[in-house]
Amino acid sequence: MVAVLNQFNTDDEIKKAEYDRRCEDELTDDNKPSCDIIAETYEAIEADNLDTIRFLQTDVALWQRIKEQFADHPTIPQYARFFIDYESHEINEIRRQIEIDRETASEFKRICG
Amino acid sequence: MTEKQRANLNEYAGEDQIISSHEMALSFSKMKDTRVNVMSRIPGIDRACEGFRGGELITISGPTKNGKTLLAQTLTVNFVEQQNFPLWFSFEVPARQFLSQFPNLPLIYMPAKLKPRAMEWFDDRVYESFEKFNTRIIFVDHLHYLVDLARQKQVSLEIGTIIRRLKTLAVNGDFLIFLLCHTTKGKQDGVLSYESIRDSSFISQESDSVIMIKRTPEEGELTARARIEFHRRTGVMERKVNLIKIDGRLMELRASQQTTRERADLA
Repeated sequence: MVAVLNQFNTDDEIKKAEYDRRCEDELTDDNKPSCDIIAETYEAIEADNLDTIRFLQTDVALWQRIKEQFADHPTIPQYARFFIDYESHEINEIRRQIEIDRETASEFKRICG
Repeated sequence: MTEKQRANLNEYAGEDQIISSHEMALSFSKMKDTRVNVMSRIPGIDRACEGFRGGELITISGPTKNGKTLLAQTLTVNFVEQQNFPLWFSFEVPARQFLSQFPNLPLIYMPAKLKPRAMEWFDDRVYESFEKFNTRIIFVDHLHYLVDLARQKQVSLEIGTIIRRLKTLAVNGDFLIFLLCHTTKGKQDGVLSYESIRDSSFISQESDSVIMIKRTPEEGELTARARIEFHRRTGVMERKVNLIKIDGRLMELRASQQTTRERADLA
C-alpha cells in the first residue's frame, strides 16, 4: 500500500513538473498569445458595447413614448421614469467602460510593441 | 372664380375648411395640450416663463462670450434631469469641445456631421431624431449658421423666413426650440434689449420669448444677468435674473450669495 502511494506521489510530481515545463514554453517569445488577438478581442467587446448603447437609447425613447401615451395612468409613468433613469445611467457606465477598455488595449499594444 | 366654383365652396369639407371657434376648441380638448412641459430649474426664469412648452420658439441672445452657450448647456443638463433629452445643433463650437464643456456628459443627441445653411437637412434631422429617440427639445447654436449670409441680398428677410420656418416646425411637431443669436456689435455696452439682436427684428417678433444674457464683472468674476425681455404666454416683461457659474452650470444668485465686495460695501 505504501509502495503504491509512493508511486502515486512520484507520478504526481512528474506530472506537475511536466505541466510547469509546458507553461514555461507557452510564455516564451515564440509561443506567447498574439497581440492581434488581444486587439481583436477588445474591438469585438467595444462593438458589442456600442450595440448595447444603441439598443438602450432606443429603449429609452420607447419608454418616453409610453410615458407620454399613458401620462394619466396611476403607475405606468413611474415605471417608465424608473427605466429611463436606469438605462440612461447604464449608457453612461458602458461609455466609461469603453473608454477604460480603449486605454487598456492601447497599453497592451504598447507592451507588445 | 366663377359663380359655379363659388357655389361649390358651400359643400367644401377639406381638413382646412372654415369652422367655428367652438368646434376648434372642442377639437383641442380631445388632444393633449402639449407633450413638452419642462422647467429651467432656475427659479427666476421659471417664475417668469412658467416653464417651457412644446410649440414654443425661445431666443437666447447676448454679446459674444457672455454666456449664451453656457445658459443653453445649463438648460440642457436641467432638462436631462427631467428625462427630456434634447437634440443639439452645435455649429459654432466643435463637437469635441462642446461635449467636454459638460462636467458630467448628459444624454443628448446630435448629428454625427453638421450641414450648415441647409434648412431641408435641418428639418430632416429634427424629425429623424424624433422618430428614433423621441426628442422634442432642440437647441441651435447659432442662427447665422442656418442662413447663407454671403448669398443673400436681403439678409433680414431671409432670417425672417428661417425664423418663421422654425416657429412652424415647433408648432406642427410640438417641439420646443431654443435658438441662439448674436447681438449687433455696436450695442454691446449698456442695457441690452431684444432690439440689440443682430440682423432682423423678425427674430424677436416671431419668438415666444427672448432671453438676453450678459456678464456682470462688476458683481463678480463668474456672474451674469439674464433678462427675460418678454414672454408671449405669461405676459411677463423685462424680468431680470442674476446668475452665477458654479461647477460648470449657471445657477440663480441669491441674496445669501452676495459677493464679498457687496458685503464689504454694506459694512
